[in-house]
Amino acid sequence: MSAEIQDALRSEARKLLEEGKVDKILGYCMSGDRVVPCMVYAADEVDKLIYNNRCKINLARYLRECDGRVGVVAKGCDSRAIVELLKAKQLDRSDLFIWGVSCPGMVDSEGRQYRSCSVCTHRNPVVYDGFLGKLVEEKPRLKDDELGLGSRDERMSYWSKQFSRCISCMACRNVCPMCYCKECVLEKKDPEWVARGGDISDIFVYHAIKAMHMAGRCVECGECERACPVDIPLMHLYSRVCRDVEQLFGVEAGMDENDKPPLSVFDLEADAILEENEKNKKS
Amino acid sequence: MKKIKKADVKKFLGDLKKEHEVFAPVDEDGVVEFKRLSKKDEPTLDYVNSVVSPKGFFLPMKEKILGFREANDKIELIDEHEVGGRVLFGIRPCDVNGLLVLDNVAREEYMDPYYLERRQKTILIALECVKPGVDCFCRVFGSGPGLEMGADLVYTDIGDYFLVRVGSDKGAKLLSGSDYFVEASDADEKKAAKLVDECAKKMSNVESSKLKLDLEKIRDKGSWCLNCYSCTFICPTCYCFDVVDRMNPKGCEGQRIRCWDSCMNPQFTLMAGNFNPRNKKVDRFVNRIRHKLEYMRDRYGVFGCVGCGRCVRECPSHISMLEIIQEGVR
Amino acid sequence: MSENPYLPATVEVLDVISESHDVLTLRLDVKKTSHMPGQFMMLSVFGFGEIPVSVSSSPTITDYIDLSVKKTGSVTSVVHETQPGDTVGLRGPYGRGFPVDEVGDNDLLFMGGGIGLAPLRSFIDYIRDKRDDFNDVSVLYGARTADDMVFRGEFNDWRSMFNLHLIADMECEGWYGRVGYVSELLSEVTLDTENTIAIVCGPSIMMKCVVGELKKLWYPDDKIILSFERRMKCGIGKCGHCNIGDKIVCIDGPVFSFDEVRDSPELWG
Repeated sequence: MSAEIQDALRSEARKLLEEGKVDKILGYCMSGDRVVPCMVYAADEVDKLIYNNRCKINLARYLRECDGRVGVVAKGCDSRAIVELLKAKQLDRSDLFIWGVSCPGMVDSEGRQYRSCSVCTHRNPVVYDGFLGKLVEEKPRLKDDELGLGSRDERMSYWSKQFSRCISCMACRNVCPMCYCKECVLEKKDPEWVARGGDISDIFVYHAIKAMHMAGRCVECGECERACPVDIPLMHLYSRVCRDVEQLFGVEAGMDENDKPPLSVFDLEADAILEENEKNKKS
Repeated sequence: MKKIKKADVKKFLGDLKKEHEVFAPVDEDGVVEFKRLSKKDEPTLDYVNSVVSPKGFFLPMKEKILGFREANDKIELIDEHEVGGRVLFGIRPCDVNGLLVLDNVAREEYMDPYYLERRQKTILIALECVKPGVDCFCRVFGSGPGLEMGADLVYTDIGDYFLVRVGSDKGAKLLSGSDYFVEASDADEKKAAKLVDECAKKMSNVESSKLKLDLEKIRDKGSWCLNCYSCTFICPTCYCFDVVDRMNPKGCEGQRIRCWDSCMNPQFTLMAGNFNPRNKKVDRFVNRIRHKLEYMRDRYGVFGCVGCGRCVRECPSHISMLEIIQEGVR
Repeated sequence: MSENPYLPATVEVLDVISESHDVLTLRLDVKKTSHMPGQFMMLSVFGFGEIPVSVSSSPTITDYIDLSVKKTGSVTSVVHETQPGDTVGLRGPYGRGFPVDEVGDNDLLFMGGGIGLAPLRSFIDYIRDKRDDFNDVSVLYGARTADDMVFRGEFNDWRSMFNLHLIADMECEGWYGRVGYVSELLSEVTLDTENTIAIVCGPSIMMKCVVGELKKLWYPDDKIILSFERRMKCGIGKCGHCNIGDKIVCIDGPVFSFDEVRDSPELWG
């Protein structure tokens, strides 16, 4: 299946480059035995593009830094990140040509499936200009209690243990496709909301702020968890706040470009947003 | 040379705990970290390496370097740093070599009292490698899998026993008071040497003395760097720090703290007045690579990379330091 | 100063002198100075932070040292609230200063921009006090406006001993002199380029332009002396912030000759 997608991708990419419809193509290639993101500029380079079950890297993160017309390969999570970035006016849809691909669930270099992939409910792309391969069956979403949530005390002790490993490297923020702010509250120095060289309470504050800022925006690609050197299951937190936003405003992040981003729209009547989004869904 | 039964290692560490704080690698939910051993902790002795390098025992993630207090319109400075005796058990050869790299920085021109005091008061018991990790490339720099110098004791896994080599007087003293060590045979020594040698042969080898960086290719790789900082935090030879002053809420007492900083951070070189000499992401990446592979080599005569492979394993864009080195030697 | 190089001395502020609308000089109670022109100190305002500041007074003055600070960031803003009698922290002097003892018979050409005059002033005043040891001296100084010029109180003094030429970047009230960039002042002086050492300090873009102009005059690289500014946290070569390529500015510099740094990456930013 991945091989079919790869073949189709190469021929489509060649066509688009030859027709001059895009300037370049953002996809995956091999470097040694590692899968790395790559940019293909010419039709005769398309054979280096690959697609397999190790293409975990979320390409939307790099898309943010591209200029010109770009063709991009998008799995479920990449496409949701693109949608979310379009909603936030960080990307221009007319600059993009998206090849949607379904995702088999990605594994790391040692063949273990990523946790974020094992709980993924959107393996099929949600937005695309061309679709390669076949749709896969989506898995149902885990119930809240399966996210490892317990009583308040249990949660506190769970996260205390997780955060005690945090080395404040900020990789979780830096790899997040949704963290595009030019100036980040987590690193602001004047005033300094999160103390550098602080203690565990500052680390809690860091993660709490990050989680709040993911509310209604996290597309659950799991890049934060993958980047975290000490394996803190950060997506748990972000999924949790996203569920709340879904309940309150009826929007799941990264599903529809026309959804109003609930926390960016000021409306005294929160119900009005819910209604509008539901109306939108019906039409 | 001596050897110790694997089953006795825990007892030996137990004895050490009477006089020292003993730290050893502990596997918790798949994350191996150096931890102060409590009764219930089981040290991991067949691990590849800790996720975060043990440099933090010498250059902590954050540490107070000065206290100050305001009283009767006078400012009083408090310069106190207490460091107890510590034992770091199970440190890998690459990380011991990482410390030897950091020593150069700490000793250049001005002595860094905090780092050097910890170095002096910490006993290193190294554990040579007999099984390379997927991303290890210490052989390139000769910083592993065996260890020639830098540790007080060197352990090598030879099956049911660890062969134990003495690296310093401090190390010898630890052995002399303990009943767990017996004389090792020639065969034991040969076996250890063979295992380490075989381990080395399984790793990539590049002649690092011929290294001449291909800056074009590095820039190309750097264009994919997300400047996520994680490589700099887990690296055994990254030493950059930031210094911040912090006041207590009442505002009459405070401390000066130094904490890890990352050269991948755009604010790293940002000066007051908004001038930033290293403003581009890719320039920051190139600087990091050149610092490790050129600047430190030219300055101190040792590479600033010890081939521990942590950055290769953790890089979210899958950029490989080994590949950069290989491309520079070809 | 102390065995612990991170431990500052506490020093009393004797006087606070306003140099321009955003620059002031802290005159500090340091009796025995050991600095050379071009070196810098780490100045602490406890609770707010520590910054590198070049010494702007000559080592020939033995009653005090001057540190001139421009208000540009969070720490410098606090420095600007300092009053005489306050206590600040001081470490240093650090780094390699100007090659004061190596200029020999060469003429000296100082080129300063804005607050970049501060380290040059230390050298210029040093020459003023040891006038017989040095040959011809020219000082070319430019700032954004007349209001941005610092050490104006000394200009008459300098004019009596050296060739002093001033320039403002733009037309402004109260300014009747030349308008333009400091490199344009090179036309005001006749230079024996083979036997003149140029000493330059100012904003990065200004230094870049000046070096370009000096090269047009066939200046040899080793006769162009530059004083660089970089973000620094420790001042003693440990924190890793200030490198320009393989050079560590706080211990190898901040003063470099152009031939030492010509090929360094991100030299001008």
